Amino acid sequence: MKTILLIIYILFNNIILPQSKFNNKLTEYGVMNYPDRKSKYLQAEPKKEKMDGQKLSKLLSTHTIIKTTQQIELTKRNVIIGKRGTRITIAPGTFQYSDYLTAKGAATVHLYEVIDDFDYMISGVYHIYKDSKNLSFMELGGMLRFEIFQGNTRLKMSGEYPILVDFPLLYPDKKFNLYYINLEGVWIKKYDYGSYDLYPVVESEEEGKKVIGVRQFKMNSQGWWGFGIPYKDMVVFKGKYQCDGKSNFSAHVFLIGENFLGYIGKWVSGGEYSISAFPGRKIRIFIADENGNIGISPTIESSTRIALDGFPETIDNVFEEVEKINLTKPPDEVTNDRILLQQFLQIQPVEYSIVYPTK
Amino acid sequence: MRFLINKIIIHIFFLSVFFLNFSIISGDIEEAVKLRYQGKFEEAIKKIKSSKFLGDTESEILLAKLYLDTGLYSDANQLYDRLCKAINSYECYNEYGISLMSNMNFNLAIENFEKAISINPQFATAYSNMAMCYTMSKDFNNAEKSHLKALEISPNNPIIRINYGVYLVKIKKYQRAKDILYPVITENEAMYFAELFIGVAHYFKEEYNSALIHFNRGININPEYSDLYYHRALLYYKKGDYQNSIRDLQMVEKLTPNSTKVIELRKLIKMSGRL
Repeated sequence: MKTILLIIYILFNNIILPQSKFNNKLTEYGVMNYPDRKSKYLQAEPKKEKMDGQKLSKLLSTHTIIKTTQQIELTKRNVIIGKRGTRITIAPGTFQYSDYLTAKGAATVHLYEVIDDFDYMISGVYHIYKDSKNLSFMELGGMLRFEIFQGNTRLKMSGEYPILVDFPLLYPDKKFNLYYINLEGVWIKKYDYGSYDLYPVVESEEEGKKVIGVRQFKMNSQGWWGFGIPYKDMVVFKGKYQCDGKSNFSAHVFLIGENFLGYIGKWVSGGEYSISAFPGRKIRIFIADENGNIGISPTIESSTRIALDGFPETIDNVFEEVEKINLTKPPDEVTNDRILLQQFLQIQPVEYSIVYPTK
Repeated sequence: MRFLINKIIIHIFFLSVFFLNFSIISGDIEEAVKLRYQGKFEEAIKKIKSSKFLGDTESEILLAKLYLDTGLYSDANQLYDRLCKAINSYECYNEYGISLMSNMNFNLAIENFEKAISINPQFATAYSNMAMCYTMSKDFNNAEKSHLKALEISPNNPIIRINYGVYLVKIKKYQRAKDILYPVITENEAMYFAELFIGVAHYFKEEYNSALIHFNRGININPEYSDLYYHRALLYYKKGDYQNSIRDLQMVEKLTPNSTKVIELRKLIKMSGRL
């Protein structure tokens, strides 16, 4: 136990607080640093699971997240509105080259927006958040990815002038925190609910579309940013799957929420799976293989009996059984068409128009 | 046959004595290393000094490092001078360089950083430390070169970037300093030292509100780092907020008693007739 505490202490000091007094002298001239050669304690650092860049099944990898691409002039103020309504405002001097000099001239912005279930399913991003004490799955409120290139060179954000983001406010009553994925691929909490601005509108319908407001926040790094509510306590479903009578293959099992946004996924093999799910909520489980087949469970309501996936089933760690899922291949015209595939998967795309704040 | 058995017994005896001694040495050092990791430097020094195996290279290196940790530079220098020649490692020369630099022996410090670099030319930290040494000895040309070399080898190392940022503040290139330091706090968590110097850069550009944000953020991260309070006190003084300035100076005095900087600022506030 003492050794574990020591390892945590050392990791904390060396990784999170590199300007700590340990192996450093803080002076008015800078940090005099005298690092150790990687000690046996540091070698015990657990490998962190990357949340982005997750492998997708064949069926879902045929589609990509809707992307907005726009040329901008870096020395001017730029406002970009994404195809799903995210508005970003970029101040002059926001970006740098790799030598930290302010970037100038023309550049191309790539803005990816993840709004509904289908977007999450094809994003290749998982939503597990680890703080110092707990591991949590997240109920979701949309996410975006922002990147900027000059030619083939990816520019950096200096951070002095954050990008102002107005993100579609789809679930105005939900108290989402805001997270970003850091360079190690780990979700980091940036803002608690209440420390970014909400601009709701009185709900109405305009030409059959919902009219919504925005969540406004400042973004100071590129990559993924997403809204989420962490859930520590989860239930676990288990079940079997097969395709044409065979079950000895690996498959991507994932679930989505009904009437709420939630996406949890993992790869399994051997015809059996278990997966964490939000307690007391309605969900559907999907299983997709590497040959373009997919199977869907009926809508299931989870209990509130808390369990831990990855641990053996015991009297105190009970998994809820789901009926066997059979995988089939959708017709090619369905596979290749985004709308038809969403209909096949019984996913409702979200339609809305946005009222942006004027300030 | 009996002779052979006796010989084997004697061998076993000597081997067990050797392994017993080895485990005692390892045990003592391991204990001292743990104490050091816990920030209990004085206890770690006592542990090594009370070990009957004091004089072993590994324990002496640790002792030298502990002297360096605690600011006992003369003691550290004596040990490093002997040890670095014996073990000839770049870490040893780097530590010796820091100890000498802290003792204001800049020329010899630079010699040792250069030795560290000659052993490991990719050891960016030695370049960064050497750059600080050049800055301290007012050789800004070589300081700039060394900082840039460190950055070239290790462009993402936050400490190397912070050091260059601090140097840029020193030579009054405040915007460039901000360009270097902002990405450090964006990409890394809890960088109160970088927050401090971003605040200082804003302060000298007379961007007082931004400076205050960064001093506050630094204090939030590490409420025990007195320089943050000192610079915030300076900022409050500049803004004419003498009450808050004095409150921060009291905090500096609490964290670092007998600070000369505090006395100077108190004098200024007194001259303003506000104390």
